[in-house]
Amino acid sequence: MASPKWLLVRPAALLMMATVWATSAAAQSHSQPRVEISANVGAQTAASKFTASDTVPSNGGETETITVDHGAKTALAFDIGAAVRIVPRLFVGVSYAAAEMKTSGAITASIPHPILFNAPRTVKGSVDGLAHQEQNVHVDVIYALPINAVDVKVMAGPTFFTLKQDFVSGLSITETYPFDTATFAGATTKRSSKSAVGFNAGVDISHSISSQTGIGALIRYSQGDVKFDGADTAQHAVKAGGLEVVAGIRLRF
Amino acid sequence: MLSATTQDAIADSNRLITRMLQASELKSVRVQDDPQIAGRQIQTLQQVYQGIPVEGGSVTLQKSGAVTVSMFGTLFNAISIDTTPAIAPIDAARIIEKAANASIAFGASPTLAIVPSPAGTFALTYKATVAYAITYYVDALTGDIVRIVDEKNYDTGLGTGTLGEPKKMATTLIDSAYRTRDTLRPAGISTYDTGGSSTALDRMLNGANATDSDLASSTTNTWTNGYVVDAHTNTGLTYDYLYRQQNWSGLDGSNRPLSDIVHSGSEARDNAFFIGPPFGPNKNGAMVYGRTSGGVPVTALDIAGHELMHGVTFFSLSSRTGSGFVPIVYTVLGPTSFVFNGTTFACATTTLGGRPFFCSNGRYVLGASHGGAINEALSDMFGTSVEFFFQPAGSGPLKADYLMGEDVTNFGPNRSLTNPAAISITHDNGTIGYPDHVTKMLNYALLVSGGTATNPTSVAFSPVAFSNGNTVFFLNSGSTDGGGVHLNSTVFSHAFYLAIEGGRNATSGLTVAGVGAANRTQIEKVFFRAITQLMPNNANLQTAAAVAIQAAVDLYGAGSPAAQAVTQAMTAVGLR
Repeated sequence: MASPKWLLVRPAALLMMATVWATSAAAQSHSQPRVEISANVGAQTAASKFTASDTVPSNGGETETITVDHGAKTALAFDIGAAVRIVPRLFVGVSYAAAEMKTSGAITASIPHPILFNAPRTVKGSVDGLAHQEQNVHVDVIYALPINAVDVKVMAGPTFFTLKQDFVSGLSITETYPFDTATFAGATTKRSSKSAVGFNAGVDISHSISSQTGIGALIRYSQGDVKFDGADTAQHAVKAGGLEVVAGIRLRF
Repeated sequence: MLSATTQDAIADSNRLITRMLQASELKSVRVQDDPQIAGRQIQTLQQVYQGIPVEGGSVTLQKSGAVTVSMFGTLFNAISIDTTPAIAPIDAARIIEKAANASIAFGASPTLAIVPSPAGTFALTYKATVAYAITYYVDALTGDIVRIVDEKNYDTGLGTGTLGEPKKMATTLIDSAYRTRDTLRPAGISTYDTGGSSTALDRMLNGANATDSDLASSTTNTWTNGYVVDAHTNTGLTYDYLYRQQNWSGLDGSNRPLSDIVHSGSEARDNAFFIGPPFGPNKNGAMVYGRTSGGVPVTALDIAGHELMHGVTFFSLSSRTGSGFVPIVYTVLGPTSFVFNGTTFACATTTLGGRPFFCSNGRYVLGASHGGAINEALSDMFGTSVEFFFQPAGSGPLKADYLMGEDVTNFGPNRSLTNPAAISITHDNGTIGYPDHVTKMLNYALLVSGGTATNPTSVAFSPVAFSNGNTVFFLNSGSTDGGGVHLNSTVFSHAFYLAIEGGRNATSGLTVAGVGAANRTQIEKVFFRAITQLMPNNANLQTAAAVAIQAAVDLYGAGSPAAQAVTQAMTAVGLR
């Protein structure tokens, strides 16, 4: 019988393998397994777009404001997990999910005039490839509903989000005397990492293909508010999680 | 330093370059066709040491086919350092990002570079540019930051002016200190501080090369020395006015570098002045700003505008006529005698300092420097114009008005364009008002400094002047004001005011329909065209008036409100 030490697979290995999700092993109304391990791959859509705005000291005591509207994308997602039955039909599961998105950001900045007070220039531009990397741990209570040939499990519980997010940290602009206008030339980014606790809820539907293996699909929605420190006293609130649709294998013991 | 333009020098340098290329101490980093001369190429060679670029070590070759036409650059010799870094690039990145409180631009990793020091040693460094275009060099052995270079070449600091007002300071980070070098304005503005040293002032005025260390400096880019702040920023604002309103770039219209000198020594006490080339730092001329006897900087915005406009006058006249205003003395005949302390002094028998007065048929020959008065008037006109461009109209500190120097505490106003007579001229027996009409000009009795009393070969102004039938003595001070260059300027500058605002000349009683404050730009353009395009260098006030009228006709038409206003104004002050 396999040991839960399988859960110690490192994230790098996960990228090759896929996510695993532990589900109830009450397949086809037969005896429920003690442990179920799942590995899934699929897609995750970011929980939402967000806006990050920073105000930083700039020319001659004035402040520069950089506002970036971060987009949301659907990205490849991996999920690996294990569940242990504690009473009939009721499991406790832990899963590790990872997704990385490269989004774009629409930048609007207000750049103070280098010579004159109260004469800011508005600069607009965009930046691509802003990383949004999630590594999430879902802890769930799972209830198994064996229905005919499939196992249906509903789950809910807290999620521990670890999010790495790129933010625009500075702008390059093109400007010439008399500096009444400025144009966007580029942006520099800074990657920040932060953790937060949120929730998740989902449904797993699986079908056994042998006594110890099966295939299944998982739909889960998770969300957490991750707050990053901005360049000033403001914080950037980023929603982690989103809708995850994955499918993969099930190992039951 | 490598500079070769002769065949012998090129041959010598070529041998060096060939040897270095063979030793992989130079590598070609760019070859480009000469955009201006067909058939030529410009090649740049970068010096490297064990494959690592040497900062500042490069040579630019101009080639015509296989023939090298010229080569310029700097190559370092005797480099001998260990090129094995003790810290990793990622550690250098952390050091840089911590020091800069910013991320390295575009995610680039720090790269190795060899940095020469002024002492002739070399350091192995990592370099990386962080956001906002500042490059940091970290010693690759010790982790110390050894150099910071602002790639933007400018910084905008925050200054506090003499009256406590905030001002943006365009400065440059040089050797870890912010210095008063404005590279925002295309001409560049350098504000030098003598620290009150007469020796330093002499050195700069006499055309010596001023150095970065002569610039005022601050470690924080927050400037509290109102003296420096006002001189530096007000010169910048005047540059801006000229560019925006007159389409004119700096002193000469072609962005000749601008230099300010703040000097609190006695040489500039109660004064500010412009000095043209070949004087001034690097022989470019300079605006020199002193302090009042009470220690107040003479650096107000209208004063900076006034001084920089002297430069515009000088350079525009010089470029067209070969010189600034020439010192022609325009003469009139005065009385046969004057009375001083109850004694009558007849021209034919009176001397001063052992020199006779210039007489014609027994009458004092009087003179004034019209060119100087025009020059000062134009500077006052544009000193006030700069105020109106940047300050709200009104009275009191930091308000735009037609007074000169009013923001210098316990010093101004020095002159009024609105009502010249409201400002008093102090003389030995009391005061008179500045003239608002040509009949009230001060004409100075001329002393013979060469030749005879009736046929002098050279004359000088005496401190005895006549104004509107009154004798005015400046014997106590000995002042002649260069023939009344300041004192008589208000005749012409008052016409400028009347042409804008309209009103009645107090002496002639004539009324002028000005173009109105909303159209002041028209009159400013008229007088700017007059001096920069049309004015001869030997003009008297009457000629200057005619030039101004012509400029108005040129710009706005003969029957235009501007042309009418200028014509009426010149008539009102008696110049036509």
